Parts: sequence; structure tokens; C-alpha cells
Amino acid sequence: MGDVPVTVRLFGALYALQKERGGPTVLEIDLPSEGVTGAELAAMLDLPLSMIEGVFCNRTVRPLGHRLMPGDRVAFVPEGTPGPHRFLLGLYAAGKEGEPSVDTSS
Amino acid sequence: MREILRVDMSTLTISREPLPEKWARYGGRALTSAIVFTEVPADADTMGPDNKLVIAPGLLGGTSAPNGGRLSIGAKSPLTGGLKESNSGGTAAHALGKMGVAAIIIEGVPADKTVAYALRLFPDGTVDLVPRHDLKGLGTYETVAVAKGIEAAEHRYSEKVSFIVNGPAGEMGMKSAGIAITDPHGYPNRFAGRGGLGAVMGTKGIKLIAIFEEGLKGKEHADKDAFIAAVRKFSGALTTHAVTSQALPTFGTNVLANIINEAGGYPTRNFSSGQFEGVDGISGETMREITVERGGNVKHGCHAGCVIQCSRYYVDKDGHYMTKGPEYESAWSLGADCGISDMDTVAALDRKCGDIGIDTIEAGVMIAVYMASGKIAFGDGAAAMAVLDEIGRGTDLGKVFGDGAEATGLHFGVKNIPVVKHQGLPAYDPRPIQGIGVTYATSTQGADHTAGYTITSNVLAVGGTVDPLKPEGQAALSQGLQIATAMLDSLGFCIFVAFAVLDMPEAFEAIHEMAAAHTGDEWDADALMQLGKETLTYERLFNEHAGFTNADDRLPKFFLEEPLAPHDAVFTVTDEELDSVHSFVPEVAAQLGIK
Repeated sequence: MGDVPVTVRLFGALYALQKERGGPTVLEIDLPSEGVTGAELAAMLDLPLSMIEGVFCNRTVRPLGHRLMPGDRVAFVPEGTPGPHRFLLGLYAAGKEGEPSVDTSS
Repeated sequence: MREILRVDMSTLTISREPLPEKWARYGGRALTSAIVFTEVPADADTMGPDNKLVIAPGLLGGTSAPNGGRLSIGAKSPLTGGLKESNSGGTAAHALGKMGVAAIIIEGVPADKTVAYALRLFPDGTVDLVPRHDLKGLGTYETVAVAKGIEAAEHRYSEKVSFIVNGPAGEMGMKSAGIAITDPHGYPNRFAGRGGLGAVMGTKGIKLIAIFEEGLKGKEHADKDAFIAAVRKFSGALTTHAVTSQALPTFGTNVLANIINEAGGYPTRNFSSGQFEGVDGISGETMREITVERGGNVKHGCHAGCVIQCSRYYVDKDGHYMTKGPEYESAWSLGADCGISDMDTVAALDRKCGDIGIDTIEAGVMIAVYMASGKIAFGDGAAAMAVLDEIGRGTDLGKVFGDGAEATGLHFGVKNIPVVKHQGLPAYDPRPIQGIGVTYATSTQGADHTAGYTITSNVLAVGGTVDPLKPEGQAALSQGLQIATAMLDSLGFCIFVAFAVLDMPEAFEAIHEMAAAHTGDEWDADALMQLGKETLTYERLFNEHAGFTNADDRLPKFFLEEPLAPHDAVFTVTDEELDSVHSFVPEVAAQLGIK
């Protein structure tokens, strides 16, 4: 495990889901030093991929295949972001990448 | 046949005329902008007799088109000095549509400036103008309450009435004054907020417009069966798409707060940061929790036929109605931009803005600018309320505040004043979200997020791949967004319908199928976009005649020079790219035969 946990935030429907489960909506998770993909982290948190359109990693939207590293700031965004921001922030592009694959961009 | 209702406040006379054939395909924003372009001299005094207040339902107003009940109000703007179109929900648009009213044009000014009149439209087609001088100076909520009482005493009141109301800020001619429209429960909480149109209404001496629609039926269609089929197709898309069926109905527009904050684009303390540490206190998720806990309504439509249902009522600790659930932009402007993280405080400020009749965006941006001057502290909710009280009382200082962010910033010597064409920037910082910066800079309306709020299939080619932090592709994206938005505003659709269009091509088809089936004219995707282009062409040319040049299509310099954390980004879209956004205007102007 890495020394620094990843901080994870949940928004919108994912926030509501976590509340229903009685869990916190801001979590600190220990990750292996080689990191995990967004999809793998979602699985660790039992978040349905069907509800997720993109993941913020350090304030930038990434596809679910993006590798998250210890110390990152992460937020899962559900489908349903209104306005042009789905485009302007890159959520649309992230969500359209299909089945998660490993994205090594930093 | 739709008709124009013309109200001359200089002579206190009302006349009717058929809608000119050249505007037969226009409604909503296309019609208000075409009328203002045609009838208002570009150099008119915005507070004088030559300016006109134009009110129009969309082309599909008065029908059962899902989410098709938006109202457009236009004039030459006292705030921007250009052509202004401000758009609102509420019940008035459908009521006017059912009456066959394409537009109300209010022109001239009364000789006696102390008067207040009510314009009343009745289901039998009669229209009158009656003195209501006792209503002058009342807040919007009290005005509606008193007006209901008067009409009830005359046995004219029923629940099927819509009010379009001016607040005291508009009566005092303040440039941030908006116009309130009642919702299905009779609360004057929907707003044509931007650009100071309340001030124009104030000069006309009109305190309220009452539209009685008891017994009126929806408009007839050229092809009823085809219209119903298209409505079903459209409604099906809206009720299954994640944005329109889940996120908006559950959390309202304020679901954006956490997302935009996470992106580092949530303007905080007068645009000095892109992240607000207090966002949790004013987010859509928190607002829903508070409202549910207090027994408030968290899901309803702002007009009949709304299937998205993103409206909500914010209630106090005792469960009493305070205001509508503040929209994302209002929660931001009165919250993060002022450093305020308490939802009850934000709701109280929102209610105050609504009651005195000022635009919540301009009000919040103005207060934040005032806070930046050091006169009051960021985060001081009581001081923010005192500023609004000054406006409501019409003090000398209140008149400065009431004229908006730029007037306040100049008065107090603030360096960074976030305005374009004299209008305050809304809730998205253009440095980490460059695309919205293009829209702010180039919109005919001044800094306006809704001008480029929608998405349609024609922008997918660039829209899906732009990097929010880079300039490439942003101008083309903004151009497509602005054209599509103008189209939806003209048909009378809530711009939120467009979210379904993004992923569901049948939803876009349904829009032109509804237009064709209702009017009997030919409508297709290209015709829809042409409608948007024509609308923007009227607005752009009017602004040019009023003296605007490309130099006005620019963001304040601090957005280009002062990096914003956490991305340390500045706005980098070039002037040449900004100037390309309206490249279609000369060709469309030639097609329309206008200069």
C-alpha cells in the first residue's frame, strides 16, 4: 500500500446512494503503490459503473480507465451533469470511452 | 392567427394587430428580438418612450409540448445598452399562448410618473388597463397577494391566473431589476432576471400584468395526431435520460455546485479562487437534505407540461415557504462568490432579491465586488442583507448597488470587476472552463451562461473532444451552443430539454416534428438552426447599431493575466477566435434583408 491515501468524493446520485448505505460521502482509501484504475476503485467502493460517467482526478475529468495513485484527490461523477459542462469539462468524452481501459495519461 | 397586443402607455390605449407574416415562424426570443430590432431605435434612451418592453410566449406556447412554457421578455437593456432577451418559466407563457397572443408590446411612457397600472387579459379576449397606484412600491410577493384580493373582490380571481410583476427596484429604475412571473402555486418566484428589464417595465408605469385563463383550451394543431406522436416521443426521451429524469428532478440545477467546484471553476470571493471550502454547505445535495428534513417540496414543475420537475421550495426551520430552491447560479452568487456557506442565509438573500425584484446573479456578483472593496467582509451574511435593504429602500447608496456589479465596483474603486458588456459573470470561471468564457465574451446578451447552455447534435463533433483548459475548438463549440440555445428560446422550450437531445437523436427529431405538426409548416433540423441564427443576427446587428464592436466581445483583463488555482489557468482563446463566433451574421442578415 502507498503511504498516502486517496481522497474520494461522491456527488449527486452517488452521494445519495452512499447516504442510503449509511456511509460517508468523503472517504480516504489506501491504494497499492502502483495505483488502481477508476473502475477498479469504483468496484472497491461497490459503486455501480452504470451510474458513473467520469472521474475527477486532481480536478481534471478522466475516463474510468485512468490510473489513480496514492495521494490523488478523486471524485466520482454520476450520469446526469446538466448544462454544457458535460462537454466543457470533458465528462461527455470520458463517458463515451466505453468499457474502461487503462489510460496512462497523467 | 396569432396577434400582437400593443399597449401605449403615453395614451393609455390598447390595440391589436395580426402578427406580420414575415414573423409567422417566430415566437419567444426570435420574436422579441425581431420586434426590438425593428421597432426600437438602437440609440434610444433605455428609460425613455422609444424603448419598448416586448413579452412573448414561444412558438409552442399554449400547447402541450413538454417543457414548452418559457416566456421571453425583451427590450433595449438599461444594463448592457444592447438588445436584451431574458427568459423565464412560470405559467404566463402558456396562458398567453392559449389566448393567441404572439407578443405584448408595451411602448411610450405615462405623463404622470407616480402612477402604477395593471394590464389585465381575460379569457373572453377583453383587455384593460386599470390604475393600481396603491401597489406602487410593494414587494413582488405582497403585490401578488393584494392583486389577488382585489380581483377576488371583483369576482374575477381564480386559481387560473398568472401574474407578471415588477418589484420596487424596477420601479426605481435600477439596472439590475428583473421581472417576476408567478409559478403554478402563485408564488412570484420565476424571474426574467437579467439585464434590467424591470427598470424598463418601471418606466412604463406597469406594476403587474394579470392573465386570466379559466376555461381556455390548448391551441389547435395543423396535424393533431402527428403532434401528439411527437409529444410522446419527446416526453419519453425526457423521462428516461439521466439528466432530465434523475439529476435535475432530484437535486435541481444546484447539483452542479460540487462538480464545478471539483473542476476548480467555482468562482469564489469575487473570482479570486476556483474552489470554495464551504461548497458542501450550499450544494444541491445539502439543499435537498435540508428541504426534505423540513418537509419542503423538492420536486415540481415551474409550468404546466414540465416533465423534468427540477423546481423545489426552500422552507425555513418551521417548514414555512421562504423562496424557490435557489438555482445553482443564485446559490453560487449569493453563496460562494460572497464567501457565504450557509444555505439558510443564501435562501434569505434569494428571497430578498425576489421580493425587491433584482437579478440574483447580478446581486451576488455586486455584493462580492463590494466585499472586495473591503467595506464589508467576505462571508458576512448580515452585511450582504443590509446591502439588499439599501436597494429596497432606494437610498443613494442603494441606487449604486441596484445598478449592479460594474456600477458598484467603479464607485468603490475595485480592481477586478467581473463583467462583460456591463453585466456580471455567472457561476463558472472562464479560466479553467475556457468554453464558457467564449460564450461570456461573445454573447449578444453580455456575460450570460444560458446563452450557450444547451447541447445539440451538431456540436458533438467538436464538443466531445475539447479540453476545458485549452483554447482549441472552443469558439466553434460556443457558436453551436449559442445558436441552439436561441432556437430553443424561440420555440419556448426550457433549455434543459437539450440534455436528452445529446444522447437521444429521436429527441431532436421530436422538436422539429412538434413544430411542423403544430404550425403545418416545414421544419427540420436545418430550419431549427436557421431560427437560432436569425435570432442572433437581429441581436448582433442591433448591438452594432448601438455602438458595440468586437472590442466589446472580450473578458476583463484579469481573466487573461491572473492565473486561477488549482489549475493556474488563464483565459487563452485568441481575439481572432472570439471574432469568428458570429461569422454567420452577414450571410443571415442578407437572407433576412436587414442591415
